[in-house]
Amino acid sequence: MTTIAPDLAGHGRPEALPGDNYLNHTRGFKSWAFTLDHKRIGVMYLVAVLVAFFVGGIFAMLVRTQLLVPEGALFVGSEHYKLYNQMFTLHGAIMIFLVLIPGIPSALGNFILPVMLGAKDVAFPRLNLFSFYLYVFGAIFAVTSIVLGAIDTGWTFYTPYSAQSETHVSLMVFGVFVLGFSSILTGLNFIVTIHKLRPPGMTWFRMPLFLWSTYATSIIQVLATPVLGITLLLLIMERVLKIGIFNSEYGGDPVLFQHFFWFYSHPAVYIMILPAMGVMSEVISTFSRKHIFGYRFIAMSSLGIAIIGFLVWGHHMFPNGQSTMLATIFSFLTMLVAVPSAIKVWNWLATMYKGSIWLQTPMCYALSFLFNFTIGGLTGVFLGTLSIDVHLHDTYFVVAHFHYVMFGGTLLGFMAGVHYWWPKITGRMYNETLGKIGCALVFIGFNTTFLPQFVMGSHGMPRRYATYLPVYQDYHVMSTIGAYIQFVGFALTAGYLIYSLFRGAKAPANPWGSATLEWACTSPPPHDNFKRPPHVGDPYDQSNLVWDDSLQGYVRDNRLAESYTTKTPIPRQAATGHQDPG
Amino acid sequence: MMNLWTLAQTDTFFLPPQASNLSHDVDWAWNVVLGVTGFFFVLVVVVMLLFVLKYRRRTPNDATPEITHNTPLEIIWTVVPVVILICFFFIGFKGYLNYDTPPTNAVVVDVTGQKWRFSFQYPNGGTSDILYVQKDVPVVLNLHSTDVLHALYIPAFRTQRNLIPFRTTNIWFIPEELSPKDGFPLFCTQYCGQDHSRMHSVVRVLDKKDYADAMAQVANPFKEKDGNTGKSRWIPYVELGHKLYEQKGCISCHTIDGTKGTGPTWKDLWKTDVQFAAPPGTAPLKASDSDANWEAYITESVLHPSAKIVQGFSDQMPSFESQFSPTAPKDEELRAIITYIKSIGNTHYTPPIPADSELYDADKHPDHHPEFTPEHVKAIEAAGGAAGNAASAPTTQNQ
Repeated sequence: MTTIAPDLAGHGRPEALPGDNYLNHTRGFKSWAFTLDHKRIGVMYLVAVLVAFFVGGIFAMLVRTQLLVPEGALFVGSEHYKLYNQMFTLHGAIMIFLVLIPGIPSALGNFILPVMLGAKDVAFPRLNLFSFYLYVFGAIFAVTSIVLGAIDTGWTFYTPYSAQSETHVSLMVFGVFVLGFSSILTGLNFIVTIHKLRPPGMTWFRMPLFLWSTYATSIIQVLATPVLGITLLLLIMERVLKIGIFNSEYGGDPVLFQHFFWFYSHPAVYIMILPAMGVMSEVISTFSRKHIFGYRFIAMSSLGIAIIGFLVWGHHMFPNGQSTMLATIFSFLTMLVAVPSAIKVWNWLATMYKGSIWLQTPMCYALSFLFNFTIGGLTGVFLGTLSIDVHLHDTYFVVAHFHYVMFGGTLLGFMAGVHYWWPKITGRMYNETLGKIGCALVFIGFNTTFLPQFVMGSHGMPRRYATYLPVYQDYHVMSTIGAYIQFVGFALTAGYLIYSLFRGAKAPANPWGSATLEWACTSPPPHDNFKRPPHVGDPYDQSNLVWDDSLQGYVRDNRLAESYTTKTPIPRQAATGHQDPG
Repeated sequence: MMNLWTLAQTDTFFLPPQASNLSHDVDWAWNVVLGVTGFFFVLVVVVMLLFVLKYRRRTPNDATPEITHNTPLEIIWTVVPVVILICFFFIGFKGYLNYDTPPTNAVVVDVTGQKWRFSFQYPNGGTSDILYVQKDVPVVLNLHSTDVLHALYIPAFRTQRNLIPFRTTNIWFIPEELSPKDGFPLFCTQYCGQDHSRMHSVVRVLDKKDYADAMAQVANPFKEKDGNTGKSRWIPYVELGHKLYEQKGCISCHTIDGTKGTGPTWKDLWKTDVQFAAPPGTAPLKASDSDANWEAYITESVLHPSAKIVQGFSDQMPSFESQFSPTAPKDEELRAIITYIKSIGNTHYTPPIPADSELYDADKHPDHHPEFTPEHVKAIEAAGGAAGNAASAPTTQNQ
């Protein structure tokens, strides 16, 4: 293909739900279990992640219910505190390793990344399926350890406690080790896909920002996760073979474990938040019907976060007896890593300026993200400031801070993404009114849960306490009520999403008026995504997309499209330099 | 909402009352950061809401201006946060150096953390489970852990640090406010297992006189001075044993009412048959075994708890060797514990000296506790110790 296709591959008026799509292309259990289609793998990830989210959420509810009264509402008496400790450990471990890390990159990313890029699949489809099964096996190990004797070490597995605990630490840790490989292989796959499978015209700076953020994420996954793998393997060796590495009983150094662990786990925070930031850039631009503001600054800030994010792990150890010099350096770098996030927030706000803001469910989640992530980011500054951190370390202030980033940020970003791409993935529209109510409940519930935690944290309430001093009770009660509101919000969301699968209106190809490539193919996409390499334009130019009432979606107005293509011609080299893979 | 209201009335909404020299710096930094970040938070939210209202969608095909970027603006909103954040860094850095520079004239208190209690040892050799400090006198806490990671955190003083096995860390502060009657809370903030949430204590900041009294009390746990009458008395072993049961942290795992805890209950423990799960093949201890056997078993369980594990329980208990010993001077405290266990045991136990005996009047019999063994009394005399403090002649410190 050497010229731009005149029919603009799918940009015309595709049928609402055409005959052949990835869902009905082949049938039967095996066609899913052995599929190499990135979309099906993405859907399977999505289901697995949502199941894990449900389980992790149940543990969260148990944790919050326990804390309704100072002496504990569920697990009363010393011998039952261990149960509470297991609950918060499982909540943390499941949410981090099974939900937040694979949530956006592996589930949404797998589905969206190749389509958005204009490719037929990821670079290594078999490796992709292998990643999924590694995820499943990792999850099975984790679940087995829960059944046999759930771990009570906290999700951080700090030594020497984790080396001595009588629960099934080795099994759980091995599960996380396997999950790590899943993460590495997915990252590797995405890096190669973005480097090698861009169609003609898809230059680096024409890539949607979701791809930039996924790219930055993948780099972290590939470089940081092996360190976690090694660390966890050493921990297993320590437990099984009694080799002294981290356990002081055998002459090991527990602080070394913390360095190794956070060398991965701090960058992992960015594995979680960066893809959500990518979703934000897509959603805010689309629902403001306006070009993203400061494309290059946003793209480069993603890479900036990925690089500086590797150098700040020590801020988890300010009061752990590391040297003053180290603490100073880590505090300084921690301050710097806040800057790229600030840049993104300003750019998103500027994108909304003079836009045409459409408050559909994905945008509601995006605005919630903006609100919560700003709180999460700014409270991180308190913790990065050395002297304040000494007071706040390991209190509920930290708990609230990371929930504002991980939940208010990543998870709401994930929710925005799920709602944004739901029509594309399933071919069905969900109920907008219920969507907005669900979003409002989650937003209100979330803030009711975690705002009081900042206050009680500043008053010194330590984290991971099964019981607490009565003076903190009011905050805890508020927090628990908030958690229940969230639960209602999520139950409602699950309800209307599942309902939409069966009874939802058929989705048009482009319901929101977005200019990125995944909206150029039908909903759901055909098995091969694109019959031929799609026309690649500016991913944030929605000016030539017009609303079609009969389709209940947007279509490209070719007249406007032509004027657009003459305005910014595709670089010749890029347009002709690639073979047509079709 | 009573607590929220009282908090808002009496304290600042955030942060507990200031009670140490360190708190001023931290609270100042907190206020600066809160002010600046609060301003930016309000700015972001107001702008966001303004845009949502002003630019809400009128028609699906609204024309929007093509604004792609504005480099000068973007450079401004990159550089301004950088400058502000570097200022924050310096504020925090300066405060942190403060934490790391204890004065040389400080009172040094050795703190030992173990699952799940703190023990504070003062320069006079006495120990306590709550921390006594004197107002306006600098204190350095040397922190040790005998088992897993712990952390010592005093919110009112704005300081915390981890306790790491086989390492010594320290914190220091100058208490500036007398504590309320029940003290300022002191927490373990590093997760340390089952009873982590019960590993908390209090700091009592006392004036000079009360501090001296407290020190005399911790130096001689056998003697007690009535604050009102000024009279001293020796504490009968049954009573002392119960006190040590609470102070030394036995209470966190062993109940005295027969309910199951992390460890076996002490009620009826004395002279009730015990089966052991580990090591395999350990002969059970019978009710009919001699007193000496039972005393040896309890002593072993305190000093080397992993040696025998009672059926139905797991190997959780840390060694209490640093608290008790079979030899002077700490053997008497161990004897008090054993006496206490006997008193709630499976046999009828009558203390050798009735609790109201005038032998316990320390003003009349200042030499030594009436229940000390003759060997112990001899050891005191040999050490030439003054009677009042002899019981805890300087202990060896092998942390």
